Amino acid sequence: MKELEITLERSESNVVLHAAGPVDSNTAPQLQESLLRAAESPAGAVTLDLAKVGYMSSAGLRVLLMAAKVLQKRGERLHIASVPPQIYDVLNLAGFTSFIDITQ
Amino acid sequence: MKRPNTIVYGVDDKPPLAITVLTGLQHAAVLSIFLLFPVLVCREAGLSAEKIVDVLSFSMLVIGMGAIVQTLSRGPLGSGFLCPPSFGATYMPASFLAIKTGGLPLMFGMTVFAGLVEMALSRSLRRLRPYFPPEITGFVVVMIGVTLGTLGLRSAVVPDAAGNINLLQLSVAGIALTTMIALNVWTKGALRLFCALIGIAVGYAAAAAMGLLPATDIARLGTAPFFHLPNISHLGWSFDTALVVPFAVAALATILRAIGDITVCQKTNDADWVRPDTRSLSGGAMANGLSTLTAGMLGTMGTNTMTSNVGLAAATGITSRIVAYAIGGIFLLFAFMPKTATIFAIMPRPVVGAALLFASSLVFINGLFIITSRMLDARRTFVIGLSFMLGLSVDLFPGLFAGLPAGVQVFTSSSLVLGTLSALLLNLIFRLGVRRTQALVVDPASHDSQETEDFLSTQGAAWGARRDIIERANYTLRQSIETIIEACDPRGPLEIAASFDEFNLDIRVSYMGPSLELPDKSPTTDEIIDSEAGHRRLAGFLLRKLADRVEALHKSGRTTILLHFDH
Repeated sequence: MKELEITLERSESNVVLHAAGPVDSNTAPQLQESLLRAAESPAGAVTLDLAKVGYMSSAGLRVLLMAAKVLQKRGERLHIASVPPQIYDVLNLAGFTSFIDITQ
Repeated sequence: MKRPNTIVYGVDDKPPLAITVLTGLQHAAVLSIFLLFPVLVCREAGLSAEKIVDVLSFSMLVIGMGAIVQTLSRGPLGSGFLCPPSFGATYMPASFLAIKTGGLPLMFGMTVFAGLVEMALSRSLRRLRPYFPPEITGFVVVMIGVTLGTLGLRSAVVPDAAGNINLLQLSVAGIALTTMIALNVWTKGALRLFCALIGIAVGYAAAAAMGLLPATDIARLGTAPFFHLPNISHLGWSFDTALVVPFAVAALATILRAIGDITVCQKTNDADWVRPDTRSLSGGAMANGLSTLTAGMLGTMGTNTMTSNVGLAAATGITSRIVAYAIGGIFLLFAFMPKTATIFAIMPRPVVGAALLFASSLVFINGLFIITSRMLDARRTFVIGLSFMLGLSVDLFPGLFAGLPAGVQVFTSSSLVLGTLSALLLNLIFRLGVRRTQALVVDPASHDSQETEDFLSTQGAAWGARRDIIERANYTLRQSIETIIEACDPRGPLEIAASFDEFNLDIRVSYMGPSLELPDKSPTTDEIIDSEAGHRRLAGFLLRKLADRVEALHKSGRTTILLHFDH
């Protein structure tokens, strides 16, 4: 079973989370913990790098939604970078592209 | 239909007048490049420059009307998109053959026939799908590229009767081609967009400087009136059954190209695009058939939708159908301005060659892309490989088929005809016994989603399924298994069966337990965050959207989820 690895890169104005591995119902809690912690910290923008994520199920989408809501409360938007086309399509279908900044 | 971020003015928008006119002119400039094809066939027919101007005037009328008709979005005619037609290599081999056999009247008559074939085929696209899979579409495009390249080389090199190459003409072709390629590779924006047109202009200048643009031609441009009604003295129609096959193959190739172009239009205009809209494809193919029919009636060659303009619309982000009306207006105006047509009518032969070589490279690679969008199994390898070599044999060994009976020679009349017929026939033979099924059992207690992905990916490669479909099916299957295990608490293993028959990928997931909810509408963001039920509805909604068809059956405690993907 493939694991999810998350590494953190922090600067004064930005936190970047690099995820590697699938985000499904098994690994989504791990992403939720790291992403919500970053979103709740007072530092500025939060970016999630999905370059090494080949699969993200609805459980992963739910985590993105939670983080986006937390960030929205302090006037920020969640940024997702290097989104693979397959995951972009799913985000698009779910209507998430309107409140999350996405770069492919 | 949801507008993508890259689109500034979508298909239903009305851009400001200045933007509409400028964008229309930009499209008209690109479409004008392809007027060199009617010029080529007219020269092959030995038509005078004055008569060529008349043919070009009618050709412009055809482009203008075709651009407008293509925007219709109701009824059987029109794709509803900005997808203007122009002239291309598809009808070149058949048109040359008609000119050789019976002159321009035969070419016009057979073009009318080809238009009718296009219109008839456009009504049966869905039923014909199994016989024209994407790799054959791609193969036809590759063969069109080869035809264009061969013609381009012949025009650029121009050997004399003794076979000696004219170095001056070769230099003009070289200068024009180098300009086009350099602008295409090393520049951006307008220079890149109009690289072919600028290359042609530089070619004209080089030809004039080297004395290859006769003074009579330059004088003709000066004396051409600003307005006139085109003369119809070149018109006349005839029909020859021997040319039915080459023109029917060209019509088929045109339909396949229209399908590709209109599919790109649909994707460009809809961020939620999942699968082709058959009405739009069928209407677009029908509209192009009408353009080809009109072209034959008005005395010019068959048309096809222009991939370059579909690309231009996507690149500028302006896909409004109002722009097509502007294109129509511009060409209807140009049609009565002989000076415009004369510019193309006097194009020096090496410049024509350079433009053809430039276009052939783009068309050839476009075809290869379409072919490789499929996973190429042994069957497809032989369908494409053998047909390619057989097609090329017409050009490589021109005398090879000379001894065949006249009735059979129509099948070997050009590399495009022989190659396409060979691919269609081999595809039919290899369709025997194509439906295959594979099964997988998943234990919910030790489920590894990677195992599911490997199962479908391996099978997809073995079946030669399209990568994009397998990726979509893979996501859908993984998501459904995950949701079933999380939400339905299945008793016992999940039984999965995937079957594939070239045009359908069907996946059946069966388990003991309650059914899945597959809603049509996405739950709200609050529902997704606040409740597990909301999250499950999101999963069900994704399944419904990702599969082309999804169904959940529940009987005697057993649930079966059927996921269907058009291939």
